[in-house]
Amino acid sequence: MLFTEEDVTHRLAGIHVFPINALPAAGLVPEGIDTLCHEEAVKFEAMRRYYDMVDADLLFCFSDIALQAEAMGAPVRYASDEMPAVCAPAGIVRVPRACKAPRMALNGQVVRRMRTAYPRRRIAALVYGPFTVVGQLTGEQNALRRVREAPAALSALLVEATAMAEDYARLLLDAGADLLWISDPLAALLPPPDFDGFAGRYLRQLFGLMSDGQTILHICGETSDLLAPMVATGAGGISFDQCMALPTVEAQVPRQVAMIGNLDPVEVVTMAPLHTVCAATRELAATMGIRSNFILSTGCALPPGTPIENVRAFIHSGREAVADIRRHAAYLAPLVDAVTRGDATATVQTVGRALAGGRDSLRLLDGGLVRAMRQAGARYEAKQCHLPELLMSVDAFYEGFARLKTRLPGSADAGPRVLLGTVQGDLHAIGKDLVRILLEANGVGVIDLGVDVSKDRFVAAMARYRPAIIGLSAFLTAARRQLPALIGSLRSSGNENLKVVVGGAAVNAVIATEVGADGYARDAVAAVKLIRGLITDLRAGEGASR
Amino acid sequence: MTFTTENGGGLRRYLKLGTHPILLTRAEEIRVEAEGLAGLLSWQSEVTRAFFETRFAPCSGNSHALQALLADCPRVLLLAVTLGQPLSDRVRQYMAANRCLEGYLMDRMGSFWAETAMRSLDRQASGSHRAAGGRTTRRFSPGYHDFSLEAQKPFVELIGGRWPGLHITSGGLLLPEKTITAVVGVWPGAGSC
Repeated sequence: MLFTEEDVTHRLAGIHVFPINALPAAGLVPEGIDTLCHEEAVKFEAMRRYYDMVDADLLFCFSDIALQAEAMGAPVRYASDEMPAVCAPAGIVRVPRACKAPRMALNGQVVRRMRTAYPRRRIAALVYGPFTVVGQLTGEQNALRRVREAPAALSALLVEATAMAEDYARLLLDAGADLLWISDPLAALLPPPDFDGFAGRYLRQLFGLMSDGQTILHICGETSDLLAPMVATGAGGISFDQCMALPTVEAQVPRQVAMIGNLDPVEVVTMAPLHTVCAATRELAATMGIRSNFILSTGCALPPGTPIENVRAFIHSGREAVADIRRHAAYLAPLVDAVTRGDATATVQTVGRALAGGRDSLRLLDGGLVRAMRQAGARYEAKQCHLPELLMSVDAFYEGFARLKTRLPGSADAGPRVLLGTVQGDLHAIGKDLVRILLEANGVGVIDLGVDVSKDRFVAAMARYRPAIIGLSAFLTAARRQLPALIGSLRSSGNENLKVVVGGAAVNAVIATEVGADGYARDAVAAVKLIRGLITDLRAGEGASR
Repeated sequence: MTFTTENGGGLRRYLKLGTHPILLTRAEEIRVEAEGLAGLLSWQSEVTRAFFETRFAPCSGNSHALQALLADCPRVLLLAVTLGQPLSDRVRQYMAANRCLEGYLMDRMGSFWAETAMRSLDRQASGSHRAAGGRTTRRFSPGYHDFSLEAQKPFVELIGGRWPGLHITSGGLLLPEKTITAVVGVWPGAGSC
């Protein structure tokens, strides 16, 4: 048994890893999506084949955004290789019984058969939120415009869409679904003050169907500003889009509410090679898995063409990684909290206690100190703190690291290394120093050549240290003028995969391109993000070539 | 002066310290240390326009922005302030020891104080001209717009041995780091000496 539930604080215990919806199932039957949407046997067969291969903790019946609007009168276009889509606004809006709407009734039947086929697995009743359905019925721009221009008419439509959603949810729950999942993507575009009036109150009404808190709300896009009213809907879990940095919002999600997310469904699960899927999954699990209310999932539905082996790799590596990190969460979570608060004393004490308890030093470094620095960096990027607060965390990191480093195994730094220096004639050190310190705090090996570094010294250091990445700092225009020749020399020194990044007051993104650099960072945090991304790419390249 | 007093508020905002109590306490400790290390020196000299153009050639003549600013003013005020080397050395020590909060805050405090000292020197010098019925331009520093950093060289020559350790790097950077120079155009009033 991989998991114990004793530390779980949310109401969705037993759910650890799953991808949203079941659209890749479409590729497992020879019939097209249009047929799958209308033939119960075909749809169930696709579900069965998919979930026989994909060991998810939460199952979905293949669902599409057009279904509820279609039942209410919107015309829908079908194709064998595309998801159903509303093709025109609804003429007369009606609210039929869900059991009389053919595709709703069909989904009810499929859920009933899934219940029988998978008696021990949890099944979600996937329903779209009323605001999104009204957007499908009237056109999304019209729905948003009515928030200001015709709020009463919009509310009347929302009442009808809620009635339809409620009836459809009951149908799926009566058929055997355990949990109510509501996706309301259009609600992400509501101004925060309007969210509750045009989305939240209706979602609250729908979630009221489930007295046991078995409810999840998913809203696509950047939802930081909507988080409080989303939590106020009473959902037992909030599912986050892949664009969200979860560490920046975790403090706003109560511990009894599950944080669900948020691996990129397209860039990673669908398009990336298998080893990248596993690596990205493990990193997300390691970052968020210490939170007792975290559930690993995708940031949105996986598209129909997603390779099944990638979905399986996500589930398999994610399940292992979450289970692994959970075993250490009890001492890693307080360590992460101490570092992100910038409390050096608490950091040292927590490290000391963990070492005295026989905890693994590498785990404390990677899962505790480095993880905390990523969170602190993400908070800074999200403008949740200023640089001094971030630097407090860095100082706490180094205090903890000093306590830890004698216990670390030698030559732990086996990854790609970064060579840093301020170019000749320029003595500005502090920006470059911050980049070095933050990179090291993020587990990246750095060779710092200092300031006023000549081309010859850069080239000699290249030959000696064989770095994967070189960071050049230039604060003076005179220093900037040297960059094209310097970068040219570095590139001609033998490493064809060398990446060069630049920063400092004398450069910007345009100049970086002009001088032949691979990237530009406006500050130390951006530099760390840029360089970590380049390292990930380099590792992916190495993995692919093996 | 502490960060919780009214006078410390400007520096607190400049450093973006917010209200974090631990941060404020640590920043206060750093401020006390930095004040002990900062040896503020200032220098000013008023020269004729002709003297200025000769000593600062070719940087002055090549800078359209400076020439536009000075226009037909007959005299030029040269201003400089420095906090000395010890503060910058301490910043480097902090950064080398990975104590980047201390290093960063001390560096920023140095910048704030140097800028404040320059502003005060400018206000004082320009104010006395205005009191005598004259006019002054806003100040303009080497490195800004098209006024070359090379113009630091004549500043160093003019200040000379008054400030031990003052020198210029091959890249035109003044050392100690927290050193600022500026030029102000002057139209003396009737009461100016």
